[in-house]
Amino acid sequence: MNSNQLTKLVLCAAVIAALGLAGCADKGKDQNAGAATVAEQPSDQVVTPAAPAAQDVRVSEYLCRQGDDCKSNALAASSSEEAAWLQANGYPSSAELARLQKLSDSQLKTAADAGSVTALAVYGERLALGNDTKNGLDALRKATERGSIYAYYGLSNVYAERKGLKNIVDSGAYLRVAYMLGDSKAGTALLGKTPPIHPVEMAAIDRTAASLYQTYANNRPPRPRPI
Amino acid sequence: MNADTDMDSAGQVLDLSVSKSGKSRLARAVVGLLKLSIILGGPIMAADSTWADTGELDTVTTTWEWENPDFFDPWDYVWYPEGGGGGSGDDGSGGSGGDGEPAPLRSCDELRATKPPSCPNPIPMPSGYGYGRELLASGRAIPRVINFVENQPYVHPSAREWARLALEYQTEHFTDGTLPYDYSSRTFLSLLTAACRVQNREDQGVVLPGNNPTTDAERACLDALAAATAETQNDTFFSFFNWWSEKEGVPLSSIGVPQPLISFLSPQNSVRVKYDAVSADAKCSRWWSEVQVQHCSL
Repeated sequence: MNSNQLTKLVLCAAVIAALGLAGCADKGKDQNAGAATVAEQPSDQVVTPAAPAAQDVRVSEYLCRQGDDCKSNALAASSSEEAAWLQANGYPSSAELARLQKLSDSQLKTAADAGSVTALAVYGERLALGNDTKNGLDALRKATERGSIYAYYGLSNVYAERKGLKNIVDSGAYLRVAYMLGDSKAGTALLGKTPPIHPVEMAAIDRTAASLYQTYANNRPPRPRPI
Repeated sequence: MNADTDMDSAGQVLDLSVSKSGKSRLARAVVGLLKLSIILGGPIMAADSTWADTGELDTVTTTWEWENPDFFDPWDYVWYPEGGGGGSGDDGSGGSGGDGEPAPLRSCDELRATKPPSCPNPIPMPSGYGYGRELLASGRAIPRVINFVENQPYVHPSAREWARLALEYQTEHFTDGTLPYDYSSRTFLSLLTAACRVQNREDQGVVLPGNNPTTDAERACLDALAAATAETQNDTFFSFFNWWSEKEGVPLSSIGVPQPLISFLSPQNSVRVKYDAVSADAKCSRWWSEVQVQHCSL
């Protein structure tokens, strides 16, 4: 680890410690659960390997509890392997998402600038649905470039709701890309839309997703979500 | 049944509710003319069928009540898109320069990453009732409706206008991209049903050889409606055929109803082929418009 990476991790950990966030990820970095949990430790421990206790706490946020809709909730994990997959691909836990959504724009931006790809995706969606769609979409795209599959959910929401961009096929296509990249629950989310997706629309969604997979996702190999 | 209770998604219902009250420019332009022509031509709907109610979602029913078909108001089944898709939104958010031009919603980097397939050059936005006709298999639903509009002799002007409007709305819906396919189908079938109903009414006094109850124009309309029902696989208005059969005293089979369902994936399905062509061309047109407005290098 060079000094730049170390500095970045320390900065990220400091922000996370202050805001209660997680999910720092670096562009081009092969993410895994261990790498993600490094950022969750107190700043004076960031250079040491992830402490098992800290990782367990982090993973536990994703794990389904009794009464949860574990099968369809994209942010919920039924195993520690699935939780690690969620961490590595930029998904917040439900609790973390609630925390992020309470932050002000500037706090969210600070977290994103500090390296949290999860915060970047949430920030991008907020901007895109608000009054800065252009920068919001750019933020979401950068989140995907840094490995976030979760950001495709945000893109789908933007194309489902943002006036001037709203389009049933485009919205569905970004979820379909998330599915193609390995998130089986993105397929569930697509099928759960109301009114239901019509077969004619589904065929168009698949065509659009196939194109986006090559252009937008840059043919990134899939990383299947553990079942 | 109320449309509000027909769907689970509160958000979607809300969206459609907004779109129902926000009639498109096309709708506004033709509604007045049609109201006048239909009213002058004879009552397609009863006197107490209020036009003013047609823009409210909560008056929309999802099945056609045939206890008294004279009360049918086709506008109860017409849906309006929101004017969504594509970069040149009309709300100007994001801070326009004060010149009335909406701010671009997507950066050049974003546009480069989302270039539609098979879109090498700028093309005009799809429009018009006959858009994409050259791609459609002859004898299928949309070519039959186009034929009814353009070539069929003895078509009553009001019936011709309803049919033309059915096609034009369909093009607008597919271009817009915000209206679910099923709602677009209901609109299409509703307006086409109105055309057939007007033609039936206008042909009542016509005496045909062989005790034939069906004029060529009415038969052409019924054929087109039956084909459209088969291609959209939407039976919302199928009861129209039963009403017509009982009224005219002929079995449905004698007029070729019902027709076999046409797979959505079949090239014979003209509604789906038109959907694919119009939606793809609209996306391509929008994309190039955004690229040109922002002078993006490709």
